[in-house]
Amino acid sequence: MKSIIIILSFGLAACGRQAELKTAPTVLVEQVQNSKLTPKDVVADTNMRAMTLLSYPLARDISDWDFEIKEETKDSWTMFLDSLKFKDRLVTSFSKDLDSTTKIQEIVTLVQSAGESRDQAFKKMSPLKKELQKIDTEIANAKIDLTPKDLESITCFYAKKPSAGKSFECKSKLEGEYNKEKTSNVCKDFLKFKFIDAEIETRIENAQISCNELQVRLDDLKTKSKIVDDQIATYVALRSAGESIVIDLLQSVENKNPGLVLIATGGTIEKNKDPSEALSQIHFKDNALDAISLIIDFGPNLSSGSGKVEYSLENGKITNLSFKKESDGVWTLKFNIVTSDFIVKTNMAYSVHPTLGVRFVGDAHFHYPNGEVRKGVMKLEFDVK
Amino acid sequence: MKKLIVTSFIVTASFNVIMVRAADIKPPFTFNNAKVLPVGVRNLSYKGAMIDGNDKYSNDGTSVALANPLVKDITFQELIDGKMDPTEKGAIKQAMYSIGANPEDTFGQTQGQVNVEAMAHVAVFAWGLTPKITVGTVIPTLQSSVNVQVGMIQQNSALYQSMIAALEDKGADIKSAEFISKMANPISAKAAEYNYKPIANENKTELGDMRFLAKFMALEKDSNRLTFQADVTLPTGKPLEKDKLVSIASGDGQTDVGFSVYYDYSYNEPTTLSVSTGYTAQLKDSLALRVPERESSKITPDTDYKVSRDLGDLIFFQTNITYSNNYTASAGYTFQYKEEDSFSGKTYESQRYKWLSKDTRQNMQSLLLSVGYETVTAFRAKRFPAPMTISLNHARVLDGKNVVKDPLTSLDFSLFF
Repeated sequence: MKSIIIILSFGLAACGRQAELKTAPTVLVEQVQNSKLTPKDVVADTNMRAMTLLSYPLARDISDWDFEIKEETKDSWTMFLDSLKFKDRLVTSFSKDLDSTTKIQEIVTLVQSAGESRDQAFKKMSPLKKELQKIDTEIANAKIDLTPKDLESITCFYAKKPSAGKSFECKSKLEGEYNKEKTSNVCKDFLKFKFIDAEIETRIENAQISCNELQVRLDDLKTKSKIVDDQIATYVALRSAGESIVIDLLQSVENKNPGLVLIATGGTIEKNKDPSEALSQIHFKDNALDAISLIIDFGPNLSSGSGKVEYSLENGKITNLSFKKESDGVWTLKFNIVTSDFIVKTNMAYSVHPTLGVRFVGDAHFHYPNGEVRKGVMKLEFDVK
Repeated sequence: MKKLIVTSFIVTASFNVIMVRAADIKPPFTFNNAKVLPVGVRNLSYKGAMIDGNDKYSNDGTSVALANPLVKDITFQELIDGKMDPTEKGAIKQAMYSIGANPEDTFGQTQGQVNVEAMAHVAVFAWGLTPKITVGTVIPTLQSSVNVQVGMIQQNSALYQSMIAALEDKGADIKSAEFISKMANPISAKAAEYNYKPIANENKTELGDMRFLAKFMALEKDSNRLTFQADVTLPTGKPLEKDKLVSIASGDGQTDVGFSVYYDYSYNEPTTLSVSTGYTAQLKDSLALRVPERESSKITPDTDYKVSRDLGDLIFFQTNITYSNNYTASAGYTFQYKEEDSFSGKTYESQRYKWLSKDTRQNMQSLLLSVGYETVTAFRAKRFPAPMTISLNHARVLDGKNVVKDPLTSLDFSLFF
């Protein structure tokens, strides 16, 4: 800068100049470009695997609210917290004295941590499910394998039927009173044959060894299947625990505020106990959303009553639907869910995860007739076929 | 009329907001003395003062770049504090936990470059009303040029990538895209989010705050001369624009009333020793201002359209010695002090208005040197057609707090008629 130009001028002539253009450092943040898949690229199940829909409380909802983990939900909380590396950084006890802003922050942190815990559980569970599927296929194949071809030509000629639990006393050829014939082509039955002639001893022994090996393998697979199944059950329980603690937390706030709706449950593959119950669905045709039907229960605080209700374009309970690519490259799904008490306005990003499948995740703001807006989140999950 | 205060154009930096406020202390560019104009004599002068804004003295007296408020570490704590909505604070905190980071972990540092060059053109008209009273008007115009650029230096690529990965792992691609966009240029992104005008270069010329004054010579005896001056400054300039992050103002939007005392001692015919002091009260007013949401940053989304403001009053003390014998040479020392501004309002918590006062107490010590030529003696001897003076002045700031550090050079031309 320091050069100073003075233009001497008699009279009131102005002298001025423009500031020298200097530039700020240009080492900017590296831009990240993600390759984004679209519904056209990925074939997802139309039935929804899981749904999350909730709104966070406002300061006035929780100014006089406190929370402690109760005995009946302690197991869920413990399971959830133990699944997180940062469990010691989470606040799980809220006193009335704690300021409302901090309470909201910590509730959001817990809710989003629960989502993370559920995702982690699914990530661990997903390969286990594939492994279990593989084991079950092997078991099915093993059962077929337990029919060695050698057995086809082995027939048991017996004299009399053995009592229950006993083996057939067989001869390999028709001989005298050994004139009743029993043929077996499965190990299960063959192992009940006890041949008393030595003619086919080697063949019999080989078949027996083969059958025994197959049986051991089958038993092993069944044991493995049980272990994996138990592991899957653990992760199913962990996903359930993640949902339970959120429900526990938000219902505690709902109970403090009669008529307040903070959390909803959806009719999904994961949630439905009865296979005949309706499932939430989204249909895509190429990159256009063809149909949407959400089965949602907003709980007893909704003035129109609790219970699962279908929200769809057809019945007018879903409006303003759009699915498009934004300028930043993110595909967004937006729609309004119209209830008796409020309208949920959603804005979710479409993403495809190698393990978690297709997900729509984003904001769900609850708009009330009096102009009040409660911020919330929505997540819709689908398996990739 | 020799006492002259032009509209000030000192660059005062507050956190994340660069403001050039008319109410602030600026380096002097004239010497005070106790002279008044002879009755019936008029004086028209032009004073042109040029200043560059690059460095300033901070609140602790250290020298920092003018753009210093734009340089900031972007930590997780900064991201959390930067959100008013507790749900957004909670979401960032959870993401921080998720990637095993801590509040003090830094993504990078915002960068800024601000170059200010301003030229004050000041027209002064004075008139010797009586042998003891001179009245005058000061009409300043501020021609300014501001170039500004902001950016971000990434210092922790791993943390940045982890954050993006964590957001995308959650399926929060909207938040991920928002994070990437904001991290590319956090200052511009924040400005846009809070509805500030886009950060842009600016060249403009504006009328400053006009000043009316009257000087009364109370004593003139032997080698001594004592003069009082009363003045009022009206808010004719354009005050700061609340929706600009980098802004130069030609006025401060309120009225000032000042009183000064000047004393001259003529050591011998060409040499005069002058001492002066004065007090300027900046009167209270109310205006629309953005109210900080936290102490560490003045960038805020919240505006109170009726903030009560009381800018700090100013005092000065100057001593100088002048040698004048056709050629003139002067040297002087000036000390200036400005009290802390005070703000209050009813729309937000009172503490938030107090944060507006941060770093508004100022002081400055400066050295002013001048060389010039005058034709008054030659005119009287009929050797020159008109009585006039011309001088070149240069002020250097010796020390200070919350004031610009850059030197100021000015040209002074006066014609008597």
